[in-house]
Amino acid sequence: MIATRLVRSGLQGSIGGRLCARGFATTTGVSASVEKPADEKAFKIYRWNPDRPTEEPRMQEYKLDLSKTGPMVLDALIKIKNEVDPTLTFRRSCREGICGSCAMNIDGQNTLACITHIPKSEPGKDMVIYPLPHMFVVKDLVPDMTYFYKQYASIKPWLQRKDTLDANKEILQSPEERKKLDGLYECILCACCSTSCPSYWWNQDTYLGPSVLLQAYRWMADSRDQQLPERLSQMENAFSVYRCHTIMNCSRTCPKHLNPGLAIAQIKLLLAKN
Amino acid sequence: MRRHVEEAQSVVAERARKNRPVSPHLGIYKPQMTWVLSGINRNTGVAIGGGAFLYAASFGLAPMFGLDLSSVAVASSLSAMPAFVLIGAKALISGCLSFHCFSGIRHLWWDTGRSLSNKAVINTGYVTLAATALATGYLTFF
Repeated sequence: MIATRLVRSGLQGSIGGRLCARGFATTTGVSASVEKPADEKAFKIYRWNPDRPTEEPRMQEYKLDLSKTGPMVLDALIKIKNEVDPTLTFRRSCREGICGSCAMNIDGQNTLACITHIPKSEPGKDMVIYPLPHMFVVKDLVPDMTYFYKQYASIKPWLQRKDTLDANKEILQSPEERKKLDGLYECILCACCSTSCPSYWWNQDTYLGPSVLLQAYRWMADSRDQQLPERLSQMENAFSVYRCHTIMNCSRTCPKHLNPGLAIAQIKLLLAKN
Repeated sequence: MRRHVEEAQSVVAERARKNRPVSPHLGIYKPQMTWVLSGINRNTGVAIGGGAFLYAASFGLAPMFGLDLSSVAVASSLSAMPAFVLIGAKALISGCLSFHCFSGIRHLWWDTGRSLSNKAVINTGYVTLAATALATGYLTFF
């Protein structure tokens, strides 16, 4: 603790001070070698409590001093939960954009709270946070992902072979074949893209949505998989893939900078060719 | 004690599932080149198709009500209208038509798997809007 204080006061006022402060975002009372003016920003957050299900959802405002808050939106949410309102509910885990838990709608766009910077405070510019759009709400910022995961399972997201495999032998792939999986395998299934898609909003029950279709294409594009015809015939109907109208909200919002819209176009081309 | 907690949770969960809200969507999503142009494409398509259907239907039904909807009659009644109404109507119709036309070309291009990066989507969106503005101006005033 003493060592921490020394390090922190040594770095106060420098860029390092801000970086360092992130690690201690939840400790209050920064030692005042440089007194900063309150850097206040309001966060308006969607609230709904399942214990009082008949009450309408509402927006609740929290004000934070940004000079005492970490740089990311997730830091702000954790600070609110720890210091202001422990009833605020949201998912989070890895805090580095690889688990996909903290996917939510921030200032109108779906993204991961942990890798989204809080923009510098502007007067009258509040940050508005909703759960992922058009999903059933479990509580506050937590959507019900059950159906999304069922859709994912429905495309059989695993390697399928017709032949029997020697368990001690790898299935080889050329560098070119492996390259086709780049931009597909990195998906973390955060559902930012699917819940940004108006087609998915209106046809969630039948349309698979960009996230699941990107994964469907990931297995179609894999040279080691032998069930391409079956994978394609599963898409041969008016809804599974063809509810995509190339709106492209999906690729615009993907926090991993992948291109689900392009993957869906590739599926449509495969369907046209086969 | 444990059983009591489990029951309470299941009761709460069931009540919540019955009343759980759907999170906000269209009303809160940030307007962007992607879905706004898609919405305009859908609405202009409905307007053109619906308009053509309504005119065709009324053209067929007009004689039953003693109305004359032939081109000559429509043209002469339109010429009696004030200029701003005419120009407004022409701009609206040609705007819908040309946007839907250029947007359709954009979609056909996309269906070949091309220009689907974020940057290309925005650029082709601006091209579509510019082409629509030019065509609308031409069709309205010339």
